[in-house]
Amino acid sequence: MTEASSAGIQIRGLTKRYGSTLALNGLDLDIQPGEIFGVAGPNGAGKSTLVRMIGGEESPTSGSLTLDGQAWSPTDAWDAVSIVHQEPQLFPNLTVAENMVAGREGAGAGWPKPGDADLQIMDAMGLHAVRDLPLGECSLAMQQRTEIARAVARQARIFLFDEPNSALTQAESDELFREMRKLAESGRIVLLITHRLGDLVRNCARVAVVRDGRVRGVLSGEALTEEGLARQLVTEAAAVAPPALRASFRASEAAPRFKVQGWSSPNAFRGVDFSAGLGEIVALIGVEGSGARELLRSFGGLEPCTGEISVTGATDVDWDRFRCYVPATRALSLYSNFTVGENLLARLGVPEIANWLLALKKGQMAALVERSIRRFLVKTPKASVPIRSLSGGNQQKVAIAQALNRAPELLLLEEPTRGVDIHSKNEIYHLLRDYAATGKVVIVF
Amino acid sequence: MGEIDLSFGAMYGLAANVLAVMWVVHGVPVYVAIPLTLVIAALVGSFNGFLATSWKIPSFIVTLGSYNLLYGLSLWVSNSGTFNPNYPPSGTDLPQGQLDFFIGLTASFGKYELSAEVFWMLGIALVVGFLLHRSLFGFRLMAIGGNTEAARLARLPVRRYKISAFIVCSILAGMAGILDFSFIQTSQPDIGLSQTFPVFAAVIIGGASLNGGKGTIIGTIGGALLLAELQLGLALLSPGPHVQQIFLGAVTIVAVGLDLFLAKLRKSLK
Repeated sequence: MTEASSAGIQIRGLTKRYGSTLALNGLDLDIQPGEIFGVAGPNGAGKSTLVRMIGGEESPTSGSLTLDGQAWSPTDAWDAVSIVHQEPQLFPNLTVAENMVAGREGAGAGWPKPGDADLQIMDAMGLHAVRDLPLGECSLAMQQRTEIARAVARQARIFLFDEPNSALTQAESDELFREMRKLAESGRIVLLITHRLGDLVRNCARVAVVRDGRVRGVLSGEALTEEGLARQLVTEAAAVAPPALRASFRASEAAPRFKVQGWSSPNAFRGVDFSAGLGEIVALIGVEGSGARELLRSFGGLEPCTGEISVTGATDVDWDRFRCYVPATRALSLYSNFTVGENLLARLGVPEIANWLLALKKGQMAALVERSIRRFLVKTPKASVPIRSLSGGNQQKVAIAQALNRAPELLLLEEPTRGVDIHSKNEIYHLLRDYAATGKVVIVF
Repeated sequence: MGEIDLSFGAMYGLAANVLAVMWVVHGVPVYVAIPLTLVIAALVGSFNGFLATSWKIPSFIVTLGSYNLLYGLSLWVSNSGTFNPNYPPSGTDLPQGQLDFFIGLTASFGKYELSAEVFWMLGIALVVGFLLHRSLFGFRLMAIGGNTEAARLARLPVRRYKISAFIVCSILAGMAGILDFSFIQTSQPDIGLSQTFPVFAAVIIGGASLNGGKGTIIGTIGGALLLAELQLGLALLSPGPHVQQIFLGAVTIVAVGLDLFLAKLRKSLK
């Protein structure tokens, strides 16, 4: 073995079996220190299993992990690995400085204080100003930085970034990537797992594409382009990303179907005039804090607002029947105690799934579930499996199908494709386009 | 649905005491007093539900409060007294017809001396089972219990459903209080209070989740039967009252622990 490949992580024949499904199927991977190594793959490809495996949260069914040429199990040496999630797994009730020392308080009986080394690290990472603020009051970017600082302080060797910037602004994520590069330059192993191909291309030296539990290829240098990655990711050659949802701001000749005037919210936006016509998909765009997200939510009736809101001229329609809002995170639209089928029907009521006596119409429910699964391209072995057993992309389809089953005139979606692989993304765009084409209004943020 | 009602034991007691005072002391006809008692139960349920949803006080605290409140009311209306319709206080006279009707509610009959209370239980179980498993009400309650925030964003009537659930709970507790009063024929201000934790134990053993979104009627009846059998068996063996309590505690923990263990086992075998 060459010297270059014996430093860093080597993974050989890593296999993980959950019951009858193979999450990882003989995965081989070499990751060298000093580079940012990217991992891409569709939902359900085994990315998250790989992350959990390197992070020591799962042990492999077979295969080996070596670090610097020595057999290594992260369950023993958990200190060496730091996983930075989209939502930091820290203590929001403690201050930033206290978060730094939590877990390494030492043997003293007093309230723990950060040592000199900790203070230096915090200063280097620009956390000086927020040191004594409760973590929960800091911005997401600061919280992530605290998590990284914690890992640096305990001399972690491996940094796993799992979709770290999906909730960050552009400036914040640039800052984050600068930090990642610094970590890599200091000889640490840095892994970036994300669905954002652009981020992978810009920041990684090499990117491995994982599909069906194996590495399908490692792209580097010239070959590392967004299109190259996309082609590796998508199984069907025909489905190579078409231009994603285009914002259509054209003025509709017909009378606008949905209209707001002088629409104001106390703390997010003022005097918005907006209208959308039949069959239109309208994209609201804006950085975090611009008020675009709140605007979308306000159309769904979830923010207290003043102004005039009307549909085809009428202002007093049955809004709850007329509009549906789909939140950005699946955790806010799916019911984990329900099966896939029950989830698909969760938004329905009388008369769709129950009669006037409120008795459920079991036969119609089953038929409706069958139809929804086919129509909304949900990949599930049975309608009666728990929702959590589906891959992320399919869960997202269920979340959207929940709303589509209501057949709302106005469909409001907040980041409908967040954290979803390209393949599912395309299918979701298809669904939305088809839906708008039936003469409905779709607004996305 | 992510809420808890600790006050049902006290509601059970209040129902028996209110009925006793209205009927036995003040001579309100039992046919009027029973519906009035159930109305009071419904009011108590709306009180709990209103505070828990509109004022957003955690229901654990609201109902811990109303538990004591209702017990206080029981003490007050009954003047800490005991009542038996067979022996009304002097000066009142209960018509025999009303007495027969009331005692007949839970009369024992047939070869095995089966109390009619068993049939009340089965009937109520059927109705509640329908509500829970075959109606939109139950479907949405399960949804609300599984993910309240999602239900709110999906514009399901979360508040109304939660209040309704509290009302159903209080009315059922009230009915239980009335039926047991008919069976025992004696009311005391503190009856029902000691039922609080055994009932929780039965429900949990039956597979319901305190976090909400899980639970069945069959399971609950099974849990209740299991505990009742154990209590009866231990009473017959008469090893002393402490053993019953120790068993109740141990069975609760072991049953839930076993359930979690078996679920894990099933998952790993699949």
